[in-house]
Amino acid sequence: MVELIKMMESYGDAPAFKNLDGESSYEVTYRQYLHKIKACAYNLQNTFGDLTGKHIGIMADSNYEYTILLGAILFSRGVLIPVNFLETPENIQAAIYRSDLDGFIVEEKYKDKAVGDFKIADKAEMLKEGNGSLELKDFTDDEKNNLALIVFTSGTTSLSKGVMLSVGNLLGFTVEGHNDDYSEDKKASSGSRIYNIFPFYHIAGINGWLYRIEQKATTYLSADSKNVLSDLEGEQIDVGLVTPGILKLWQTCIKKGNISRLGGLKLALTGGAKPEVGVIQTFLDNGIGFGQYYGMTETCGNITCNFDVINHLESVGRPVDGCEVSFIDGEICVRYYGVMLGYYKDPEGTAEVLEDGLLHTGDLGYLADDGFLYITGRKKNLIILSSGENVSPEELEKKLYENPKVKECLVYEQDDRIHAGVYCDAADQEEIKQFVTELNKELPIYKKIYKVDFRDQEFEKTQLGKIKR
Amino acid sequence: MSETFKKIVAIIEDVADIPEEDIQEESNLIDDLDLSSLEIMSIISKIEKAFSIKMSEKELLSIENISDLVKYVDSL
Repeated sequence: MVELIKMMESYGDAPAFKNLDGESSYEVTYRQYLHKIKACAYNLQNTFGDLTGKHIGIMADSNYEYTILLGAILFSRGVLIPVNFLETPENIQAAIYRSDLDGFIVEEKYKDKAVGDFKIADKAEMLKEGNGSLELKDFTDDEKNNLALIVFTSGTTSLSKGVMLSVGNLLGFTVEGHNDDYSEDKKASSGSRIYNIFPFYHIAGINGWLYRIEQKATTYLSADSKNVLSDLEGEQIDVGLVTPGILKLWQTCIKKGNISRLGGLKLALTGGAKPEVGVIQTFLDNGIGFGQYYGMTETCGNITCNFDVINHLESVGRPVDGCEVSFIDGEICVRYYGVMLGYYKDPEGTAEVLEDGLLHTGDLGYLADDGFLYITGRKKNLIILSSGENVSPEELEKKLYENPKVKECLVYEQDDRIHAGVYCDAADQEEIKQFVTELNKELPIYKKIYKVDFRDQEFEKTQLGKIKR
Repeated sequence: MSETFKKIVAIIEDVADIPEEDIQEESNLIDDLDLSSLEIMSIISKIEKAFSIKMSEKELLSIENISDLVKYVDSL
């Protein structure tokens, strides 16, 4: 088991984090960080009692303060449930209700979104120092299979699924356990400065947090993620761990002569969705290294990585060490120590994807002779956007059917935007357009429907009468 | 054309690389300008900094077109 606490103790005054917030930016050493975690753990115990096995939710901005809560809950042996505050009220409620929360830590501005029968604690109160300090211990091998984390992710049905990850999934293997291709990343590790923009309700955000501590790196975090284009100006970073969507924003910066907004970036690492080849090329052409990962919440993150993009532009890379890839009817299946325990309280959903430790990814693809994996399509019905967000078409279709004038509809992705095909009477088109405009005002920014394509004929159906996708 | 409008257009051009002449008061952020969610967030961030304002999530969701943005900024 990775002994993260011992590691942090040994790092002393090495810089652990920089919280980017314009003139209010500040740095934190590993010593200070550990101190903060222990103080937070004390406050948590005072508020919720012994945390062992308790389900504790967090709804807060993904910045430095969040990482204190992550450390305090994890090492107090609580079960962590990060909740995405951008989600629809239904999904937030479902996540809260279905994860059996014992307690919920909420940032002041998101208080209205937290309703339920559990104790709510104010984030700022939990971070206060001076009340006391709790000694925390690293995990032992006996704790390997204990539940550590439930991450909600859009499934192929309309409600999101709670992916259960164990202590072993998170800390059972070292970051050096990745394959040789990972060396590029390793080179730029100890003491290097890494900007991580993946939110902490996303497995890549949590992994980014753990791996970089393990590597004794300094993690740069935006206090508010929407400031991504101004936060790095005047900073010096080595690695950027960002979504393909951010890479596109950065590509525009490079093209328009604003490369200074990338903070001297030397290596761009991405995952969560497929980056565009043209974007990768722009980075390479400007002397910035590029690496990409492929993984899912269900595998606790990376199962492949590609650090030879020059020769394998379209590949997601080679499987990381310990990950065994096989194919069933063209579907990529994996055996790996990161594979989840299952979906929380959903044995049927679990049985659909997990069979004797073999996980069905829902992606179609093939392994080339040189060991590089290529993804050719998706078996599961899921939209994956460049922002790294997964969107269930069924969830949006359900919302469209709330308008009785919509006879049939099909939600799909085109050029990284969500489109809806609608079959209705020609006379109702204007009304439905208006309905979508209103619907868009309620939807999270990444779930908005960009275009409605009207049709005057029914959609083609499968033998079972379902609309063909 | 108001000063606010001009400043907002310049910000959109800077973030999303859309020619200034293609941006009108009535341009819808999604339907006409096809801005991605991340572009919209970055544009809002730059508007907040340029005009020293803070926009809530609710206010952000209610914005449909450029003139909504201009009106919002001018109302503060």
